[in-house]
Amino acid sequence: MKKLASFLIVLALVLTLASSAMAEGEKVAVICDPVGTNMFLTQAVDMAKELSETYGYTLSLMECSDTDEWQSNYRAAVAEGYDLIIGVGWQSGELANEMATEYPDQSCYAVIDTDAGNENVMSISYNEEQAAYLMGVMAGLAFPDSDLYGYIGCFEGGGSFKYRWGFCEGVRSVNPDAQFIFNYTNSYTDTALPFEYAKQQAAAGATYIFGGAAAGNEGIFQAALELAAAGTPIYSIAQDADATTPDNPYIISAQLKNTGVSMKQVIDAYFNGEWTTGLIVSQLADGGIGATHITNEGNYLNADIMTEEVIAGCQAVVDQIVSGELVLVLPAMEDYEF
Amino acid sequence: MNENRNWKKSLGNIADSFSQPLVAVLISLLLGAVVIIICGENVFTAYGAMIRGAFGNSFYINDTLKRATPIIMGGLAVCIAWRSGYEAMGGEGQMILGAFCSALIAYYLPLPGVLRVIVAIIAAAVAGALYSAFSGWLYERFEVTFIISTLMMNYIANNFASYMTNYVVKDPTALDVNAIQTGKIEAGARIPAIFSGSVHWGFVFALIAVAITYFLFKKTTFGYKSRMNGLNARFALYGGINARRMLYLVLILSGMMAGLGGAFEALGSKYRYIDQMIFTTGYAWSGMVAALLANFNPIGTAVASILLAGLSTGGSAMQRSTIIPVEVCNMIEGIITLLMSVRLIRIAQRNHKSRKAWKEVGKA
Repeated sequence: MKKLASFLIVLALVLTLASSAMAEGEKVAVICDPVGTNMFLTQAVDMAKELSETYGYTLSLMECSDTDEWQSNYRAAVAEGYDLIIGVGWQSGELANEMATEYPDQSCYAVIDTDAGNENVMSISYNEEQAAYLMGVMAGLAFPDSDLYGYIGCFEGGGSFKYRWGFCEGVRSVNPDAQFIFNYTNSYTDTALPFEYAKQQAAAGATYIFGGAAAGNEGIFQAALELAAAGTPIYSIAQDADATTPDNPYIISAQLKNTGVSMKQVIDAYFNGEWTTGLIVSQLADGGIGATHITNEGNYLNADIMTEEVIAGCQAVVDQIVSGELVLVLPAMEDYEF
Repeated sequence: MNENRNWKKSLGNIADSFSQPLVAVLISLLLGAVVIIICGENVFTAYGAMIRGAFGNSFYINDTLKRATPIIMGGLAVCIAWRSGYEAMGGEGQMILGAFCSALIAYYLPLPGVLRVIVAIIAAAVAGALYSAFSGWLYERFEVTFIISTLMMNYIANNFASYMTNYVVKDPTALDVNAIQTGKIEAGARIPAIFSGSVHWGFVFALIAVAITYFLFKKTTFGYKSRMNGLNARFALYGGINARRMLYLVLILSGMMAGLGGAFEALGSKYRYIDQMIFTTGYAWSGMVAALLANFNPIGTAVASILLAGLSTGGSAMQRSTIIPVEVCNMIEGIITLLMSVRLIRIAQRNHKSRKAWKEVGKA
């Protein structure tokens, strides 16, 4: 036991020396939830990896499994002298704010998909309700005879309200008598529950289901394939990145949130000497958010559902939003009834 | 002379409780190395980062002790209940209620800062104790087994706190609607750091709780009675121990510890209640592992808790410094925890004894 203990102590010393000699050049930290197959995160992380080759920085990915790890990793990133610390997700807002207040000159701070509320932090957030509204309009136009529209989301709280509200308002702008059915998985990754919920919503009469379950949307897509084989197809959309594919024609579009573009915006600004701080709100007008086949090209178009009329109708709404003719004002959650 | 022998015995017990988790960690690190090699990472780099990230300098040590605080309290809760024969698993629910109540009181109560902290801590202890006692009532009145009642009550507590945080007491000043949390407790109503940049006083309180529990176990009739109850409930009953009183006393004490753990986390580390903050971190479960590893010895539980917390903070550091994904880091932590549970020292001692016995038989 003594030998083993001394071996480990020597090992720790050697590694401390080795690592201190290793650190050279700019260091960038990306702090986020576990990445897995969550497109919201993979887009951002892949972009950070890609740009590390362009700018030659050392990238450290800090995936946090719980609230305490978020706190620890943020503090550690500052203590370990990272030059640029980028948080992705709402948890990063307050922590970046704290760090930027306590150690304003230690690092440059940026957060994606939240607002840190600090003048020393570059915050990029999104007007997701605009894209959700577009998804609603698309559903209303593509399935005008449907009485019931489904929605499967991750969490029921305020965080997903702008998705629900945008979607419902979009559908109602086309089909004022529309009814909705909601289910939540309480997870960003659970695919089993969305699979079951999709089947239940289909049995209740929904033909279109808004896929708002993050990586769990895969469960809805599988259910769609199964239901189609049984002769009662349902249709859905993906989140964050395009997932339309000829292998599953029931994914008719995707509500895009280009976290990769935002990551590039942050890193480019830092390395090109154009660093700015404060809040930047990404919206339809600047391409930070969008919709497959409507604002962006897609991998596969199911032309039977996404007809020219449907696409043209949606594009007209995009024009209205971008020109300011149609202004979407998110109400307080407690004042709104679905 | 006799007193001297007792001291030696106590020191031996303490050494025993230290050595079990320590030796297990060292051996299990070797097995974790296999996973690291499979991932294509250098074992020395990975473990170096892990050890440094857990105990490498004062920053990391403080981070580890901060994480260890609620684990120690969760571990003590298990020590008290399980040692007395009540296999309650409700530490998580009690910790959630403790954290939630203390966060609300420290945020809303119109009292001077220090008083608010004291009231918040007491409220957390009471909330944990009552919630724990409720499972005792279910057991006594309806014969609901502890495992079922406490496990279900964990979900109830978590979802209750989640609902309240989402819809009733959500932080009115949050900039992000996704931030499901209560308002931030002002600086004067928090558990402060021992000194600037260090772990908060909650860790010291946790160590005091360890000492109190150790004293209770070893030096009081309550400790003796509860142990008797755990070893043989019928014998304890026959010996005149009031089983009903013991049931509630043990559960209340256990619940208090868990509730306090929640308060230390909310008031000393997060300064608010964040939805799922106790559930996803699994403090209570880590505490249970620590208590089981230490065979319900409070001092051993504290040591094991610090090691488990170090594994977690070190795991984060390993992930920061290597290409090993977080899932694999968690897996390595799992392997180490699992192997820590193997009672290696006992097995070694048993083998040594049997070898000795064989030798003696041979000589004869």
